Amino acid sequence: MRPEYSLILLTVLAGAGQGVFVFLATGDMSGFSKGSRVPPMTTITGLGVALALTLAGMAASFFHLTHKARGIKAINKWRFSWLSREVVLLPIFVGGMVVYGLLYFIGAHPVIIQATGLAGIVVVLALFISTAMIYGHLSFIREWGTAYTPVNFTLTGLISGWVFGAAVYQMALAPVGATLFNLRLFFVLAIVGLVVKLLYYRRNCGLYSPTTIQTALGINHPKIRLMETGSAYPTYNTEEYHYTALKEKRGILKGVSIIALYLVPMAAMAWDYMAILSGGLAILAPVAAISAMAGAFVERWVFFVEGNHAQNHYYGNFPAKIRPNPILQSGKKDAPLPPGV
Amino acid sequence: MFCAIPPPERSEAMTKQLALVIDLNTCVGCHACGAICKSWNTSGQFGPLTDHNPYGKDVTGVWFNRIQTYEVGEYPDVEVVHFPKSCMHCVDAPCVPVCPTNATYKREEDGIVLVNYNDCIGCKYCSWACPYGCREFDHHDGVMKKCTLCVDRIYDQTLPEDERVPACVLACPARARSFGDINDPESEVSRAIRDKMGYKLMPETGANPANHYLPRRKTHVALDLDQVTVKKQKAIIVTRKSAQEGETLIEDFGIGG
Repeated sequence: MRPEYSLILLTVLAGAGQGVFVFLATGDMSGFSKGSRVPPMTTITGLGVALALTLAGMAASFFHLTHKARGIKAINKWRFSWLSREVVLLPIFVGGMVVYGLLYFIGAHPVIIQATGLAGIVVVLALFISTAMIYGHLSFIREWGTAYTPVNFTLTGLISGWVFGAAVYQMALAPVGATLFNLRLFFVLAIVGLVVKLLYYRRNCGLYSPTTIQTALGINHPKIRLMETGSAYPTYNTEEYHYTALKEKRGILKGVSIIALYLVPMAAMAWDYMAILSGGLAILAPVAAISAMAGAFVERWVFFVEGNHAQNHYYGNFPAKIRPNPILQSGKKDAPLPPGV
Repeated sequence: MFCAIPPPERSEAMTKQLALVIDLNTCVGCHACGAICKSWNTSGQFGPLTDHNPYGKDVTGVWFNRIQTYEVGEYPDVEVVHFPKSCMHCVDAPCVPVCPTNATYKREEDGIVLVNYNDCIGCKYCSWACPYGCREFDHHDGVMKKCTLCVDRIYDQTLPEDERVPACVLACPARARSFGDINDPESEVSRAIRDKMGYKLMPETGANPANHYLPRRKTHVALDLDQVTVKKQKAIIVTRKSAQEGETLIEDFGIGG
């Protein structure tokens, strides 16, 4: 699929904003449970970062729409459309962040604050799933239509947000207890995220597609060749669903995204963790934040361009990576049998 | 016990579902259906199908009906198949539930899938959700457009009754396209689907398209070779008796006696 840069910006930036919120909420919860709460101004600063990231993502998403003034109508079908659910949840999340910040500002009772934080985390998870399921439920785009998609979107957002949150904590000199707790959580998230990503990339190698040129045309013959597309110039069908830029380099880009999104932040955070324990200088979180954001952008770009739409069969643009017999694949979880088998 | 709510019973009279049936056996690939579609719809009720750079080098524009050509088989056993493709007006149209603004909808009265251009925000989600690639984005108007099944023709009382069909059906010189209600068992399209083995594209995607295609057909005579020989001999014998000039006839048939 052709990568829509406004959507890459939206999913990466808003995802990071959601991650920062979860970081701040869990950080304060751990501080609260340990009796050394994070100073309100630190959390409010962090919320400002989260708000800025989310609003930047939302602003980018508006460039995706040709009729921006009608954007409000996109809440109409929240019962059916994941996109509509995302549009409903995004303002709820932003409003929730503002309320959460105000509670700190007026010095509300800690229990109320923690309850609001918990509710916010639920909204964030629902928002991650809504965003990812826009792509995840398109089952005939086999690279997208998998449970890996929502899991990957959630973990990527949390990881890239976490490093931003850690940078805020470092600059505001948050209490050691909350910082250490969140750093330990970061390693869990990053390792799980890395494993999920590697499994996801492995799954997408040589993926079986139940749709073939034979089912697309309804002609049962092994040799079918496109003679003409019916148009002398590129059309919407050949440009929107098929993207060949950097086709040979996508494997390298996947490696770059893994290094920038997981390995560099993990190394930087490990340095910081040891530095905090030994009383040294913990200053590498901003480096991790920049690296993770770059990695997340590359990762999302690869995600979009790797999607192969079923209609590409009609235009000879579907890659020839076909598993031979679906019945032989029945032992494999990700190879659904065609209907009737 | 898990089915607390019984599934809704289907009524005997199914709702109307208008659709096209395209006969690949007779389609000659002349692109008349595509050209008349563009011509009718660009001057029809729904506004133009815009072209970009129409006289320039990289011309592109919105078409509802595109025709591809495929080579099936290898020389000498080869056939060229022309394949017109427009919106399938799916029964379970995947483009409809994904539309966040309700701009895309399926009409209950006749099953036509339409786009309300006043509600479309141009997010292109429906075109991603359509497995057939039958929706085209109009970059000039900023809305998604698609085949309307000529809804502005088929109910137009000012047209003669036999012309109240989609423009492509009217234009096809090979009469490869027919139009009607596929849920009415007595309609022309239903008969064609039944009698000529009409099929749906990409059944595995679950979209349940309303448009059907009729396959290539060849007339084959299946005969048992032994039976043929016996019958010919019998025929020869009979002819001999009746004509009384058997030798000449046998040579005429080219079979040694």
